[in-house]
Amino acid sequence: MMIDKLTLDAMVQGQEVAQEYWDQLLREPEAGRLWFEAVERRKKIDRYIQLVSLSPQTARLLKLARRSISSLVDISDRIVVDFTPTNDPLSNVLGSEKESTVDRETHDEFKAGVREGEKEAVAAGKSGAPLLPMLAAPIAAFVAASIAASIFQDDKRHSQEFYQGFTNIAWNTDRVEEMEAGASLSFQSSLLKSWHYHYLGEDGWLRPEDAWHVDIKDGPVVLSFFSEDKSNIDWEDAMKSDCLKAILTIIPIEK
Amino acid sequence: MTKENILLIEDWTLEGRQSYIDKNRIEVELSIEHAAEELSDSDISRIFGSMDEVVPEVIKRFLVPNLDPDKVPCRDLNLFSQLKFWAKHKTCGQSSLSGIDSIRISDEILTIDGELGSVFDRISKTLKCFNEMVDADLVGYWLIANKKLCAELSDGYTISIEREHSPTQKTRYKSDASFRFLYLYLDLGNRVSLREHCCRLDYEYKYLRKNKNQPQYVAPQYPESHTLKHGIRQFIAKVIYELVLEKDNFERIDLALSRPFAKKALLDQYEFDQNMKEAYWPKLKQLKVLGGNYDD
Repeated sequence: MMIDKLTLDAMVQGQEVAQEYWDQLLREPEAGRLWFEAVERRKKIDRYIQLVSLSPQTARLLKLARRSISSLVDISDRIVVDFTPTNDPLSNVLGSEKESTVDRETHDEFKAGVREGEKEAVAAGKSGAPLLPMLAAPIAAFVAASIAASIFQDDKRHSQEFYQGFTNIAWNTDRVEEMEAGASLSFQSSLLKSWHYHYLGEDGWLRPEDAWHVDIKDGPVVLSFFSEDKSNIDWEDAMKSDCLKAILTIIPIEK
Repeated sequence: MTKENILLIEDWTLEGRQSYIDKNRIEVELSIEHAAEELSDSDISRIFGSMDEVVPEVIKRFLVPNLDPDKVPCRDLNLFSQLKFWAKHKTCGQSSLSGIDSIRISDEILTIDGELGSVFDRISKTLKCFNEMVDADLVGYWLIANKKLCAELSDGYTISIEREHSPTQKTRYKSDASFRFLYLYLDLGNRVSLREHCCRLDYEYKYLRKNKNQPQYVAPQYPESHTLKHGIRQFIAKVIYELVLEKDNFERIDLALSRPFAKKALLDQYEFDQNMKEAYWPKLKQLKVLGGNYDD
């Protein structure tokens, strides 16, 4: 019989459990996999509880959103997270030397677009606001999940360890991540058609080519991703639709 | 996994706990619900009746008259997500709960004593002890690195070893985990030749202590000077030296447990310089040869 999740959860936290459970774990053919899955579950629980303590309202919103996600459908496509960690919004984005399958010219234009968007946001005194339409032309090339490995190449060592493993989001899943204030995130998937932000009672729709600037003042932010353009309807209705969805909740932390 | 306190529970009297619930009911309920969803399996329904009953049952148990704060796994909001504890509380009663939070490095823990029984028992007991002293990921890496050996010892299943190429860093963590495990398994810290080493305690503080479960899976030093770092490395080198010196007296199982770390990756992980690598790789190689094919 497979070792139960409750017991594994206690074990990965270093809590005392009877020796027989360790015997059982050693006899599991897939003990390593089971163990790492349990570690990941506990991480998710810990992060959610952190979210709860910071903003119960956001945690409740996430709870509702989670119920709209069907975990039964496994989609191979991933939303690749392009991550630029820095406190300086201009040098951050411009400093990225990431190579991808994105057409080079379009990529440059994209970066320039981010810079203009950042400038506008700063000028408006809302540096923490989402970077609304920054790029006139859509990203030309389809960017598949396979480029994920290149994402962190410019990051400092501590950042690499901090964001270890977070390179993409699977459809029909949700995850909660701590992010250093100042980081900029953009999301790439051939299936992504619209996405939505929700924080501190504010919410709105974004386009696939938009980016998110992590700001400590925002508090936790729930980002919802859709495989259809839902920007003309309410988020609640969009969550009820049967398109593919994914959720990333960001807990901003001081750098 | 060490964590920061979130909404600390300070007053453990019944009135204090009731006040905590009154003040933080939403947070408590959300925490329990989320843990129940993440950990959902047949055991939750069997123990708590149904998923809907988990929240009221946990809160009810938190508000029993004699909840002992010395017997809970943590003392903040995270307590409500500890469903193994609450399940045990419900099925066994609090009196049977053991000191669940007592993870401290000590010579008692370092010593695997008493009648050890079979090799399987001894490995299982060491693994339990190991888990109390290192980050959770390292236990996972050890399980993967020693998969073949565990299959053989269990005698209950057979596996086909998948010869997948491990990323470099993963290989290093598996080697590191296996080395630390053998240190406990053979109780090396109590051997005369190692016990008196000036950096033994520094090594154990750094490598046999839980932290944040993040690479490099070591406890933060205070601050770690170049001299101290070098001293700890010298201690590791001494351990390797002693292992090789005693290899002819090893039982087969000891050699099998040595196999997953008998790699250059171990020396890389511990940042041996080129001279030390040239001196110690031939020694490790002897363990590799004797360890047979007990590698992942």
